[in-house]
Amino acid sequence: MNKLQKYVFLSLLTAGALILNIIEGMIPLPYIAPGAKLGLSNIVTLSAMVVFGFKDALMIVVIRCILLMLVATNPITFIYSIVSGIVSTIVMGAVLKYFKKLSLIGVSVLGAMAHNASQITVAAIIFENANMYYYMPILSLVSIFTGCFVGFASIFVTDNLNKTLLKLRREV
Amino acid sequence: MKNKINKYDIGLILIIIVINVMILVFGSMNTADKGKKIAYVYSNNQLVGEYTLTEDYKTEFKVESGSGYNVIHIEGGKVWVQDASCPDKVCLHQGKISSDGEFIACLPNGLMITIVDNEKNENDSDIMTK
Repeated sequence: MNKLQKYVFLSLLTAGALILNIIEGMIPLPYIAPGAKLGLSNIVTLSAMVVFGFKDALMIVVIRCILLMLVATNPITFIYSIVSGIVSTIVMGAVLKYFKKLSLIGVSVLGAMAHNASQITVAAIIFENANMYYYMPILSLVSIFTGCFVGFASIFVTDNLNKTLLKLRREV
Repeated sequence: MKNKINKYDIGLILIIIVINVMILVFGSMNTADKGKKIAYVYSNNQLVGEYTLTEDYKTEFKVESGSGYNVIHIEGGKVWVQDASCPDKVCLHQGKISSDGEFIACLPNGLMITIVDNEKNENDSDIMTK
C-alpha cells in the first residue's frame, strides 16, 4: 500500500469518527452521570491503532477534535475533548503494546477510564474544584459497559478493515 | 489473536467494579446532614451569590455569562437549575442538591453551585481559602 492510499484510508476513518461523534450526541441516553456517553468515535481510534499504528491513531484523534469544534461544538468543549482524546489514546497505545494478553475489550475499557479521568481533571482545573472527582467511581462503572461495547465493535471493524486492506494489497 | 474476550479482560473488569463499588460504599457512609448549609454560586470562577439554605427560604434568579444563562431555583433547602441556554442540559439533569459537598456544574456556561456545610467544615480552613 502506498502513501496516498494510506492517507485516503486515514481521512476516511477521520470522517467516520467525526460522523460517529456527531451522531452520538443525537442518541438519547438515560441520564446516569454528567459526561457519560457512548464514546463511539473510540471505535475508530482503536481500530486505526491496531491496523495502522499509534501515530496515525493519534493524528486521527487530533484532527477529529479540531473538526468537531469547527462543525458542532465550541472551544470550551474542544479543550475537554482534545485533552481526554490524547490521554486516552496514549493509554490505549501503551496498554496495547505492553499488556499483550488483554483483548481489545480490556484495552478499550482502560481507554474509556483514562478518558473519564482526564476529562474530570480538566473540569477540576477549570472550575478550581476537586469535588469533581466525586463522579469518578460512577463514571468508571459506566465506562466498563461503554468500553465493552466499543471493544466488541472495534474487533469487528479491525477484522473487516484488515480484509479490505489485504484485498487492496493483492490488487496493487 | 486479540479478537475474543478472555479471562484477563474479565479479571480487569471485575477488579475495576470491586474498587469502584468500594469507593462508592465508603463515600456514602459519611454524608450525614447537620449544621447550616450555604450554597455558593460561581460564574467563571467568580463568586456571584451566597444563599443560606433553610426550609422556608425560596428564590429564583438568573445567572448570565458570556455564552448563555442559567436559571437557578432555591426552595425547601434544595437547589436546582430550572432552565439553561446550553444545548445538552446536563445541569438540569443533575437534579436537586441539598447536602454538604454536592454540586451542580454547567460546563458550557462556566457555572458552578456548591453546598458547604458550615458546622462540618468549621475546623477545615482549607476549604474556605479559595
